[in-house]
Amino acid sequence: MSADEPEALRAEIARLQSQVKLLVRAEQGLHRARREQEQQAAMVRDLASFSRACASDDAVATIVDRALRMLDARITLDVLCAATLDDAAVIDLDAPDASDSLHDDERAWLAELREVRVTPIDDESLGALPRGRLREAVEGVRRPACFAVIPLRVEGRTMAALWLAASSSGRRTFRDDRLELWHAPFLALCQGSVERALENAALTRALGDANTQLRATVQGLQRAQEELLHARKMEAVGHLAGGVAHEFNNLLTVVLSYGAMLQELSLPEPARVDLARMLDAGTRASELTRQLLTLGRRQVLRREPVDLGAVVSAFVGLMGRLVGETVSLSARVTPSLPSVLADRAQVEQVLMNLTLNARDALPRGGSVVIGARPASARDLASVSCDAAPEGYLALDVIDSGVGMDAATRARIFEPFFTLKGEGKGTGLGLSVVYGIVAQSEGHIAVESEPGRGARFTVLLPVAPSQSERPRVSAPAPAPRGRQGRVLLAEDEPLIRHVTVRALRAAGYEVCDAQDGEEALLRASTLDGLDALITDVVMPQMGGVELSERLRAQRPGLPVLFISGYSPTLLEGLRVERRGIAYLPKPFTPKQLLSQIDALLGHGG
Amino acid sequence: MTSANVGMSTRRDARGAGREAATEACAALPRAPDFLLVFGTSGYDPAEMLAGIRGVSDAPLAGCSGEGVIAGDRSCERPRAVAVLAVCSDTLRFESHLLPEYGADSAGAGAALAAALRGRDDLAGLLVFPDGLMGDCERFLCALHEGLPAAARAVVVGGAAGDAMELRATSQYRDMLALQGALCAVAIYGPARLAVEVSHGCEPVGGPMRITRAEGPWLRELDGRPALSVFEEYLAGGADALTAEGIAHLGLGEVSPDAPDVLEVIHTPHRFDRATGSMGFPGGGLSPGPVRMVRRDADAVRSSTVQCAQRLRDALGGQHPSFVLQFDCAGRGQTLFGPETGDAIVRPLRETLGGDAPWVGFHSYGEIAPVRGRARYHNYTVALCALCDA
Repeated sequence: MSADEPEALRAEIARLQSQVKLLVRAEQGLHRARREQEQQAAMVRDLASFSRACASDDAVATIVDRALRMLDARITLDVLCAATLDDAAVIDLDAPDASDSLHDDERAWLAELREVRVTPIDDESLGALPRGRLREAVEGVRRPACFAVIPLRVEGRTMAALWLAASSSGRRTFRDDRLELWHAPFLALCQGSVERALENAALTRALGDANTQLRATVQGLQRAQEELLHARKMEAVGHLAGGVAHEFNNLLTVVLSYGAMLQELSLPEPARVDLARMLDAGTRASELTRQLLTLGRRQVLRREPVDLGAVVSAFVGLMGRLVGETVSLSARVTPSLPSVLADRAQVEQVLMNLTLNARDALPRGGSVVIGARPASARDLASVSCDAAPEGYLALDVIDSGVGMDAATRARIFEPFFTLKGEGKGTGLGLSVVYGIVAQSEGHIAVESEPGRGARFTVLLPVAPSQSERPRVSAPAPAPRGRQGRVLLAEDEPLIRHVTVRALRAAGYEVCDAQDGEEALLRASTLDGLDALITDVVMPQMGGVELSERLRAQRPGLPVLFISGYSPTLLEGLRVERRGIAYLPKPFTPKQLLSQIDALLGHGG
Repeated sequence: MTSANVGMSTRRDARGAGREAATEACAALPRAPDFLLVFGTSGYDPAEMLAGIRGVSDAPLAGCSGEGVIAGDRSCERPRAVAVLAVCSDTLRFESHLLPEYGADSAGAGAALAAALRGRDDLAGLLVFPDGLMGDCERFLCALHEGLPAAARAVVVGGAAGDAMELRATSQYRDMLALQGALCAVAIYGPARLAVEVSHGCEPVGGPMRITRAEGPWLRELDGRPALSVFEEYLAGGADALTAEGIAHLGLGEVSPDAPDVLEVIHTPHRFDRATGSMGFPGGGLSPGPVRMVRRDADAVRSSTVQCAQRLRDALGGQHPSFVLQFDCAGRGQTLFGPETGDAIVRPLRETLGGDAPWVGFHSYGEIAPVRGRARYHNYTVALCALCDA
């Protein structure tokens, strides 16, 4: 080695050592930069996780609590509190069970904050804080220290605020996670994330409320639609059945009238017996048509105040032994019920049909309870009626029978629908009930599940007070003795002929016409006229118009309507109801004469 | 047979955290614990934390505060964390000692502990937890070593109590008592085998140097120059950067007398005196001799730690440990690996040793582990200790 080599070697070593020192220093800088980058990345991840977790939260307090925990996981804090301004409630992660409230001063102060504040804690910054929980917490932190307040605003209103504080170590540490001024940008990002979460939660809540309302409205509409369809179906079937029955009644009137006339003759056996059987069949046929007219709402109703409780009690008393030994029938009547406006006979028909239906659902015995009570809001809601429950009474028929499934419940009021075997029922019982209830301006609902019995609830309108009821005037006085001239308007020839024959046989002078126009023409040629007998529905001119025009000419003229239609048509008359009677088809000559006699004041 | 289980809590309230960690630790034991080892961070009031633990078990308790705690696969260096190891054994006995005079008279404390341990010939191991900011641990270990009979110079391992890198105050626990400036020791008696391995993962930088003057914990001169001036050449921000950041990067390594390239013990300064140009090293142990400036390297730390676990596994010879203690320098955790500390230097070790052994420890301000048969005070080091029934 030359003399210069050791020196050169030492210089080279020194140079390399300098470079090593430079590299070591540079490494420290790189490490610091990497750590800061990792911290920022961790903060961004925290905010993303927080936003994801808050997507479905509702309560403001829940979102705020989650924000506090996120900050607690990222920043070393001695104070970690929040408050929701609406209820001034304080959330303190160090005292989760405590229930503390904001002071009014700090509540007002927080409500005015807009931006995040990160401030060293000193006398000046403490003095700027309002009295209350916030100031107390910050004062308790060991100095030197830093505190931050983060207002959370949604739609221009401060809903909550976070406040944080931490003492400083006084020397830099690698963790750098004690609350420092440099955390301000992260806290501002945090503010944005939490505010968005609060806004989303508020929107979600509002949307949820709107959806709930919409769902309820849609369900109501669906229910109303189903009921409307059902009612229309029932109405269509009823119209069809009623129409058929109406025509059938006309024919039955002829059969029964001629049959009654034949009965007055001395017929030999077996003709006399055969005739009796024929009239019996005709009477039963008229009962069947009466039921069809009921479900078509074409029968006659005489609505008047009816003591529903008394009807139920009497019915149960009468039917108690007749429903069968294995079936117990009982009444449950609320005392002092008001009267309902209904046809008593029809109410009893309803009770009969529902009770028989209940009995049929108890093949192995059980109980039937018939109740009368004030209607409830739930009752009205179940039939989609908006009326006040005070306007109705409820008639319940409850059995402990086999129950019905949903498919059966949907069809029970359909005419001819029955679960019984062939020949064991007409399937009209509940249809008749439906028709009577509808015609009585009531409602009917059924609740049942398979194996859990059934409950039929009929809602009937409460009768108005005495002064509100329309006055029904007494019929006008009629000529004495079975004498008189009667004008008959009937478009069905067979009925016209048999009616004319019956009247003349009884001693009346009869003038007949095939429609209202002809009847008016015939009436104009008559000096005297004692009564008008008219069908209601006729071509050219109907019976109602005919009676109005004739009574305009001849005031007080007694009128007997013969028809299968409801007397509701008569309620449209703008005339007094004195001297007006109604005889439903089919009728016998005897029934006809009885009505005329009563109308004209003849004895008998 | 010895059974152990670990519990951990990061609740903000100290009493609730102690209760939660102790409950978890005691839950899976076959019976009530005989002993509890507790490590908690400085964010808790130690009295409240110990009261929470006492509410669950009244077993004898020892431990200290740390910069972070280790439990299972987890490492947590948050200000509020506590780990509890609950142990029950039919054959082993655990006896705790608290030496309040350690900070003022470390050598005297060592002698006193040695005296307390004499007379028993079944001492299997000794866990020591000195205050990491006070005292001279090397003097304590020397006095302890000299005071114990050769046969009783059992494995001595432990960690120096720390705080949250504030270098302000640490705590040492015994039952319901928490002191500062003290040393807590746990003697393990009975047929047990303690295997210890250490690793630091530091790389030498610069050329060889010599400690030319040192006085207790103070390093005065390196190669005849003020020690502070030598360090400043390697610090990016000068001596003002001698914060945890500077501490985390630089240290001094004692060169092995047998192998110049091997660094046996690493020392880390945590204070300096600009007036004298001196560097303060907690734990002392500096004496004239060859040293190297060292830097940490994350990859080297990671790989050397795993190798340490492998050596420990080989030393156990297939025996499954009843529990494992990990005393890991505070400068090797979050400051080096960020939130991945558990994945870097805890889980790989546990997996190497079987994956299910009860595992507890803390991030310390110094580590106590044997080097060439004698316990030494280390920095930047991990001391792994596995206890097996003999």
